[in-house]
Amino acid sequence: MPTTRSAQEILEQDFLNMRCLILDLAAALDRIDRAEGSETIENHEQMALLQGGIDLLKQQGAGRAAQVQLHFSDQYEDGWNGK
Amino acid sequence: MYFIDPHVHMVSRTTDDYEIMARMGCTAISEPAFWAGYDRGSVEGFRDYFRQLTDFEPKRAAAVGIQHYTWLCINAKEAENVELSREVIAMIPEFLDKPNVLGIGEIGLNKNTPNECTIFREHLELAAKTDELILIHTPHLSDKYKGTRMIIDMIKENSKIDPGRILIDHVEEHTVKLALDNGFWCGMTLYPTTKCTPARAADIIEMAGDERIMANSAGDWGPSKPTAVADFIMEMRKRGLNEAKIKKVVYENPLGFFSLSKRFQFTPPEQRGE
Ligand SMILES: [Zn+2]
Repeated sequence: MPTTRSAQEILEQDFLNMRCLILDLAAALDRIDRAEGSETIENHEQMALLQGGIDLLKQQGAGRAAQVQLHFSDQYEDGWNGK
Repeated sequence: MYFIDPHVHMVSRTTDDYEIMARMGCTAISEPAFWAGYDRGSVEGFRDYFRQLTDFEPKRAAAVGIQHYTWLCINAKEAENVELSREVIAMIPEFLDKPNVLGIGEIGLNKNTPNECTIFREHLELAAKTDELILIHTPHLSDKYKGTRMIIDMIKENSKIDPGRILIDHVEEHTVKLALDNGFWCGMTLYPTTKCTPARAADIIEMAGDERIMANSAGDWGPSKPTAVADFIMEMRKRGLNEAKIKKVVYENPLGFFSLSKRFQFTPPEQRGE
């Protein structure tokens, strides 16, 4: 099913919400930075996952959501059931 | 617009929720068997739960004009107890001739463990033997992709099972094509927090198409909204989709899947009453 709205229309309708989502993320990162012990979690696995997810947003082209999902996913092993 | 919520756990919701759903246009629901918030101690706990799903809930739903259907199984969380799971699987056939039972579900994986796999395969065997439809739960967060692949691998091990009689639920951006390309039906589960939103579900429809796909609210014990399918309809309307296209996803597709069950009987809302 193709999209029903033009890119311009989607941008106009979603801009404030997208701005808000970025601000929410920025504030959540600030909250961690402000808290006691923030320097000790810099190399924490979850921090690295978040950073990787943010980097994926800068990619061009569609499919970012699926890429972010896979980034946060456990590895699947081919042949795990001996087949 | 009338809609069907194909995956909602009404045992965890109030009668007020039934009424709100009915007012919003919900005309039928299907309720898979799931975790009760605690592990049940014996097969008798499940027998009572199945009586609730096949006897009491249909009456509560009918009081507000909603047709109630259900699915029976022991859920993946409790499948860690293999012995109890086998007792439950052996008891399920007692309920398979109840008129509102659509099949076996929601079976699947939760943490992708070996015991969950064992019980999932045994449920598949029961469904194949009794020629029942299957509704599948996929894990929710980082284990979803791996779990979905493992589930599809195990279904392919069993040559008696037709993917066209199975719905893979809780699909998201990275699993929807795995389900559709392998011939399954699929469901998107809309949650107010941490999981798929109505906007992302509408995006998935735009990208994956509207064949063999539907949306549900889960409506369980956790934060969830029994009116999520109505929110999804609003999201699609805001995008300018015409009513026929919306109706296909929220009404015709669930009906199409349920109709594959030999017991399924449905009266369209337009044909009810005097
Ligand atoms: Zn469920």
